[in-house]
Amino acid sequence: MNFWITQLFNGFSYGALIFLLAMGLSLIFGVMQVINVTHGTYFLVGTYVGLTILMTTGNFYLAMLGGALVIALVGILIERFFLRRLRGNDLGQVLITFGFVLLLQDAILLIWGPDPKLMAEPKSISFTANIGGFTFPSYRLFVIAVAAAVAAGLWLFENKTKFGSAVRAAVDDVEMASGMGVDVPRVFTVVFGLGAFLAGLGGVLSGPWLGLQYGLDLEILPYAFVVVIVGGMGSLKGAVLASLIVGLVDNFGKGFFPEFAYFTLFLPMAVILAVRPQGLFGRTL
Amino acid sequence: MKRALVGLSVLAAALVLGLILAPRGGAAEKGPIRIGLLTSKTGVLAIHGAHQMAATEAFKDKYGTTVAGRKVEFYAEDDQRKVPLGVTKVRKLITGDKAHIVMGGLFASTGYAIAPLGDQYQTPIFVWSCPDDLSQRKRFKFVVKYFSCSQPQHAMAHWLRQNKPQVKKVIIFGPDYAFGYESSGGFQKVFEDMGGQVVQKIYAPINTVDYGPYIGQFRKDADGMFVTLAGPQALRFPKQYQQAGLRDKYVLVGNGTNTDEFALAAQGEDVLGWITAHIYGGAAYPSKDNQEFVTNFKKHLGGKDPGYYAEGYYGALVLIYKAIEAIKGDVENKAKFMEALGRTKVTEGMPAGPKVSDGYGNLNTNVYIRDVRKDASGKLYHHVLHVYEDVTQFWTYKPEEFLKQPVYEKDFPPCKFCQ
Repeated sequence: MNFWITQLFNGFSYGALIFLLAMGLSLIFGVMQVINVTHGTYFLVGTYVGLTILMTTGNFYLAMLGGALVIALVGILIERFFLRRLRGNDLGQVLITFGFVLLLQDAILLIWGPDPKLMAEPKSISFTANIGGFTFPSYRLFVIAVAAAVAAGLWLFENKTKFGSAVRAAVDDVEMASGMGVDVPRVFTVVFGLGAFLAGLGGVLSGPWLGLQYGLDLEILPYAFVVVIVGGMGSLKGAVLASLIVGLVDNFGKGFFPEFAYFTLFLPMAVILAVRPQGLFGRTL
Repeated sequence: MKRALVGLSVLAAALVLGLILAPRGGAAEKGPIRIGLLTSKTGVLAIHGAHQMAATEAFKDKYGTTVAGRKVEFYAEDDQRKVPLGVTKVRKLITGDKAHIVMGGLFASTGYAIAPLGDQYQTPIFVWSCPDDLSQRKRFKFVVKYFSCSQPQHAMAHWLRQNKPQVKKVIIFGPDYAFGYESSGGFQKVFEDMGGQVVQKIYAPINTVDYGPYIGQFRKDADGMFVTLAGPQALRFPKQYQQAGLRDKYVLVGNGTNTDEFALAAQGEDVLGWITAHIYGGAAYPSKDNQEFVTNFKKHLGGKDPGYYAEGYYGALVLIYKAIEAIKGDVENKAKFMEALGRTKVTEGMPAGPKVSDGYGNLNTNVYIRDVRKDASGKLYHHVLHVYEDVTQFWTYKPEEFLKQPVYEKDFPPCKFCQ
């Protein structure tokens, strides 16, 4: 019983972290049709920026916000000055996002150096919670709470605001949306910035959990791709559900068949691709 | 078009002439000795590469770039932590750069992969890492290595039985490749021969990001853990282990890589008190040779402390110089060079104490049992609890009998007490 509760909780918390990374990737993919390979690197650079803010101000929550905002700005600049010039050129866009992976990785080496680093979580959430006889690391509870708040906020944004409906329209059909008077370039920039913001936020949150290490970006990116494919491009519901699936499958996979950790992770993706290529909640292509 | 053609032919002629007239190296005139170095400068292990390159510079400071009257040139290649790329790079160092010897390979699995190239090209390879079997059942004529992965961990098990006999049931956790299996196997063998029990064995991929699923499986009825962490694992696991509230649950011992100096500063309080065994006593070990090495090293890496990744690189280079001196610089005679490498013995100037060839292509070495402490300024360091001197890769077993058992593998020794 203990095993099940612990693993269920772990799966949820890891899924929550993956959600923050994958949601942005999914939005960008869904709205702009750009496979943003840089996304994992946004996540990692966000962690480093967060660390720097944490060390200067001593405030973890400020680091979360600051890290996310800085990465959002980086994303907006990249979208505005590079990706926009390559609209419609899929290969060119993938290549340039990959180019930015290399550039940003080198920037990390240059600014923060190759030494691994660890971020301290705030003292107020650094304990082991005891709920009904089961112990949970409280920091993971915190990550779940943040991810849930982000999901709720996004839902409100998409469903209750005018701009949100423009975003949904762009996910469904860019040309039609444009014809209906939606300012598509602005939607693109905002979506890209929002996606980068979420990646940066997830990055800072991962600091006290996964640590800061050069190369982590490309290790965590596959998880986000699996979420996008399983959940469907651009779908909030899909990203939430798929993140939980990926988190849980990864956990129980490692629990039951530790030797096949990667197999169990990519199995759901392969199945989905075979029977429902648009993903659980994606639109038909 | 015509002019271009003329230009081209002039260029070609100049090139050919240049090739003919250029001073030629080679055996006859005894050009420089070329040492090829293989490390990981990019990717997840970039930090290890930085340590190894700084160690190389510290080595040059002390021993110079002339040995036995000949100049030495170093060629460093980056394998990006990828085993197949390591093989390509070693091939390039031997055939392209004409290296007389290649040293390096960060991973035990890289060691296994590059070893056959030594015999293929009849060129000595000094495997810096610790793949057990290269000096046991799968020996190559042209390969020597620095230590065996299981070598320090035999001693770790012995120390644990001797000093904490209350720890009887131990969980093994390690990375899912040769380094993990061999370190853990060595521990399990001696621990169980001395009456302990290994009750669970879990191996996780080296690039595991979230350890929650593994940590959640640890058996509650165990009282100790033997942990091996490689590369990035050293950073992520301790934090998550501590967050899971297991700090006081198990007596934790493990591999020296868990708290290597490259990660120690970042690990912080989470590893305070962790006990590890390694062939290096740590940057704080007060021997004169070690402190000299540490001072030299710091100059080349912004005042940072060296760990075993640096010490091993440095030590291997000292041994290579020693062998070159023994054959008076005649490295073109590869067989003679190889033979000298196979019987090196260095007792002075080594940061981690004497290294003596054991005749199997491995070195007998000191093994240090250390724990992590905090000094007055709040900096973490290794305090040496005990030194096992002159430890062989066979521990106290007879080599012939030891070699009859299979190499330590995922399922060897078998987990008799895992129910």
